[in-house]
Amino acid sequence: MGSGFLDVIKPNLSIQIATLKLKNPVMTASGTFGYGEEYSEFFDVSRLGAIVVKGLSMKPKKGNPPPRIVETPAGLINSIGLQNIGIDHFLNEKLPLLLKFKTPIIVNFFGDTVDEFIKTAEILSTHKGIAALEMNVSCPNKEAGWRIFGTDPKILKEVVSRVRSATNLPLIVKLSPNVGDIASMAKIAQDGGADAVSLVNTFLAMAVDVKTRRPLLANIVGGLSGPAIKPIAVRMVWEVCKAVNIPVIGMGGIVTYKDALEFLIVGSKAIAVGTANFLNPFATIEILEGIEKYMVEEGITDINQLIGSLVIDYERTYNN
Amino acid sequence: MLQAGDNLDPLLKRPFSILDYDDELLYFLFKKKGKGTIYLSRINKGDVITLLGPLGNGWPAPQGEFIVIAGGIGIVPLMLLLKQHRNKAILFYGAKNENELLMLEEASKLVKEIYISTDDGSKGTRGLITEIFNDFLVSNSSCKDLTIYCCGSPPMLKAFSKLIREHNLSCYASVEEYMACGVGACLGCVVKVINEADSEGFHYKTVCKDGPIFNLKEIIWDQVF
Ligand SMILES: Cc1cc2nc3c(=O)[nH]c(=O)nc-3n(C[C@H](O)[C@H](O)[C@H](O)COP(=O)(O)OP(=O)(O)OC[C@H]3O[C@@H](n4cnc5c(N)ncnc54)[C@H](O)[C@@H]3O)c2cc1C
Ligand SMILES: Cc1cc2nc3c(=O)[nH]c(=O)nc-3n(C[C@H](O)[C@H](O)[C@H](O)COP(=O)(O)O)c2cc1C
Ligand code: FES
Repeated sequence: MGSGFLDVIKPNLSIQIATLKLKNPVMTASGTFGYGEEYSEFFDVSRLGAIVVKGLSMKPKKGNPPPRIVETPAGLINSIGLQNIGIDHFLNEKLPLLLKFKTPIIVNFFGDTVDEFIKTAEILSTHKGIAALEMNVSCPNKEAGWRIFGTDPKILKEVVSRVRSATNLPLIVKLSPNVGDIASMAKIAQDGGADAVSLVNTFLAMAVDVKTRRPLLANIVGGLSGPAIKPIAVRMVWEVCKAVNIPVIGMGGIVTYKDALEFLIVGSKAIAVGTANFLNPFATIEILEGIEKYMVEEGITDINQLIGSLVIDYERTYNN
Repeated sequence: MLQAGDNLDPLLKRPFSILDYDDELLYFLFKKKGKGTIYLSRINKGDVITLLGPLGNGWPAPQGEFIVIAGGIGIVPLMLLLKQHRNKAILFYGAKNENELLMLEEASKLVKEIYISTDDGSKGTRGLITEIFNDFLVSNSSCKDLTIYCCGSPPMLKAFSKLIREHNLSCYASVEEYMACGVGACLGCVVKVINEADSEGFHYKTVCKDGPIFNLKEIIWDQVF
């Protein structure tokens, strides 16, 4: 296929995260791609590096009352409330369909308690076909006054290390960005046995209708995603990449291939596309093609040459 | 869903109903509200805009005569239904004032009977269209068996839900909610729907994929408007 010229210089885009081999670094961000089928009408989703599904819990979850979303300048605040069909329904009905796609399926999951995290991980691990688990620690902890798991170093350590013992699948810990020092949280995840970390999840946010003086979301607060968060996400991913040895999956506001390149250059091995899927159902594929074209133009033959290739001329100005 | 331009603000496409179509064109009719519709109103002939669709379900086909209730811009998704089932509908059409009674002439040609109301009395009866309909039911109780097709503002639908339940009428309504993906992936656009199999008696359904048309009796409104 294609011209012989391009065939010869077709760059290598494959990367590896622990034992997981991906044909390219472009993944979907959990909660923005449903269970894959929603977007398979638009393009061949098998072309993606991996599909990350909507966050799952032991039992189905209804989620928050509407309105659940509000648009802010270049951003989207959502308070879906982790609505999901539960792991039983997922494993019986959705996973068989997902496994028809020729790309690794990464299952995002969460729990209300540490035990629920463990049980969910155990059940998911017994099913053939799941390529990796991504644990979402940006959810509230029932046993700690509904404080977010991923914002408390002690709890983060406990939940990661215990889930680690419960699964043999590659384990990705999806960090909460709503912390003071993201690098130290990433280290905790690494020390707890994570095979990789992914970031950023959404930033806690709020919007008010000035006419009615009421919050625009029924849940009052929600998580901000989209282009508005990208520069903060790039900074956090850069800090984490410097702090840990395990692979980092970068995301937050990626809309174009150039956005994706920023994350790769600061050191993330893979990237995930979230809100951009809503703006353009073909976003992931266009980003993938854009990265490939950029590599050809820049004469980069292997994506690993690009990953972490950030050049800093005045290192001393950074006080780390 | 439609979007003008490819800048990042506004970020999301906005949902619109298809007013009409022919071999070459899709027709839309929309009201300027905020950024999304203001940008769409500025496009010129030859400009390229983004369209995602058609999305979601459609009206169940009416059997024989039927009733249509429209509030203002809510007439839009009902026009094709009226066109496809000419002279079968009794239309109740209400708006704030005469200027907001869009497509009135076109609609009146497609229906068997028409009742009009405006909030300020500038056209038709002064008052809310749901009240006009209520009065109509009192003197035309045989019409209670006809299926109702309805679209209007959330407060109108909420008021109308009550009436539907009181009189035990059968009514389909096109519902609005903020949308992001339009394809059932983000779960952002939900409404609360009765579900007897559920321990709490409800579940959430997406307006973009499961809707926008729902059996009005099944919707639970607990939002503050
Ligand atoms: C299925 C469906 C079909 C629709 N068809 C039409 C149509 O044919 N013609 C038409 O004019 N409009 C239609 N609408 C409504 C239209 O989508 C909104 O008016 C539009 O999204 C407003 O966008 P904006 O950026 O101009 O305003 P924004 O700045 O987003 O909002 C302006 C105001 O409108 C309200 N609003 C915005 N979007 C919604 C929404 N989805 N639900 C409830 N309130 C909202 C907000 O409360 C705000 O006060 C439809 C909506 C749905 C869900
Ligand atoms: C509607 C919506 C639902 C989301 N659901 C989940 C989820 O279930 N689990 C999770 O770990 N992250 C979830 N996220 C976070 C995204 O996966 C991603 O981390 C975040 O949106 C930042 O990326 P973006 O700016 O590209 O969207 C959700 C985001 C959005 C917008
Ligand atoms: S808009 Fe995303 S599920 Fe309806």
